[in-house]
Amino acid sequence: MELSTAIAICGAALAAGLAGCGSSLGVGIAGEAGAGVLTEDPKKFGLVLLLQALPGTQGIYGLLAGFLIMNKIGLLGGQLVSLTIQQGLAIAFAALPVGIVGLVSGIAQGKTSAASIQLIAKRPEEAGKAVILPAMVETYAVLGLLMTVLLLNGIKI
Amino acid sequence: MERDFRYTYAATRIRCLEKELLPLSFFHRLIGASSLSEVRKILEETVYGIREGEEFDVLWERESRRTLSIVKDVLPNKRLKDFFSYSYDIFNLKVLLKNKLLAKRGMKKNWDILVDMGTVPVDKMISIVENEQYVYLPFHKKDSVYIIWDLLDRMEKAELDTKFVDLFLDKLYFNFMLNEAREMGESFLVEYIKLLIDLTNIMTFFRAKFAGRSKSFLSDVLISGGFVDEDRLVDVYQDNLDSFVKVLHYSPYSGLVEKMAALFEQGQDLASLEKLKDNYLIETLKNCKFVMFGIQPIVAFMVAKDMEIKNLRIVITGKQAGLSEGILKERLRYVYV
Repeated sequence: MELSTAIAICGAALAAGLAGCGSSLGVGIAGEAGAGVLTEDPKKFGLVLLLQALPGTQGIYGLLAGFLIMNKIGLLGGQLVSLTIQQGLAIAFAALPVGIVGLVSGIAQGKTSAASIQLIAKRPEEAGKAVILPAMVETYAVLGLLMTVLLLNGIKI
Repeated sequence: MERDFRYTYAATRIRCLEKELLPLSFFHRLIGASSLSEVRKILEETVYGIREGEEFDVLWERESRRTLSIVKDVLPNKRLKDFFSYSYDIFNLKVLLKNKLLAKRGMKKNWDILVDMGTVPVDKMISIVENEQYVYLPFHKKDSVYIIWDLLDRMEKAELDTKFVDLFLDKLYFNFMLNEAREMGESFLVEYIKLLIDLTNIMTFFRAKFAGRSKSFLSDVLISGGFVDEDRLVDVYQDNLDSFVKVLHYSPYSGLVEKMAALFEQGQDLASLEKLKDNYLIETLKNCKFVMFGIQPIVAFMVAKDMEIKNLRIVITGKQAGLSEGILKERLRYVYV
């Protein structure tokens, strides 16, 4: 395997790894808050589960970006494409938006979800608003993914 | 920030329980009840329901016990759990020491009011005090033993009133709590204890003035470690109340002491000053409502519950004594919700 391919694989690993870390931390924070509510009021399970799952999307975006990179360099089909060092580096850099934004926004969304879980603990009638607040954080994770996809598309092999 | 995530579960569970805190309108309804049996009926809608044949007195301890057990359940480590139980240890210690002193003066001991909610079981606490083994007290700083010996010695020699036991032991308690909060690195708990120290000092200042105590007495009983340096309070003790208000003018307590001084000068009793102090505490802690991650909601909940139980006691004992609705409404403390 060429060094350029290894660099591109490093990009795929960063995309999936960083975004996955963000999601796991976020889901963890929201889960702890969820357990607090469910101890007192198990009937709120449905809503709590939704709010806990919200920070999980960053991990999926990271995985998607990782697949796109693997597909681009032919790692999925087993037919590795020959890359120059510059192309390998460009792919690795293209992976960064989804990875970094996924890490930061995953934690931030977890915190907002946990706060929203506290909101529904006190005011279950405000469930709609409680879902919108953490969903706002999602925008930036989507933008990160969009940037990575556009950059990958722009790299000609 | 990372540290505060330790309380995510606890804070959320407490948020759920905040829903059961009683609003002010509930207390007004209770005050408006025509009879004690109606009071019982209204209480059944809340967590304070009492069984047939039970006296109202069981409510206070039962609910305090439940609140403490919830708080201990949600807190992540033993040191924090103990932190919130020490107040019961110090209460038991006060009762036992007072009993010991009264027994020496030929009175009968009365241990009925001891509460088994502290870190030291009641039996052990009795044995510590009876055998004078104060080193086994949880307030393990080495000077605590000397403080207690010194206190007992002074009380015996000077035949002081047993209420001095409260003042001196509060000093021991708050110093210990401040130290614990600092060692745990919990900045909010440090601030909270400092606030309690300041409020206690302000009340002690008025109490001392009310009873006409000397300046040296005040400097003996004021607690150090609060936001306001206690020496500044001692300095103005013999001046008029204006200088006291001025000294605290740039502190967060300026509004509080102004109102207190005005009431004091009108000749109001200390109970109305106590009410202002309670209201100030609850108003300050209302900021904890906006804290999502941290120990703040837990502390605020404990104080809110304490205040709620106090309000219930005011209303129920007041109604038993046949006090008028106006007086009861006036005596009510603010509520957290």
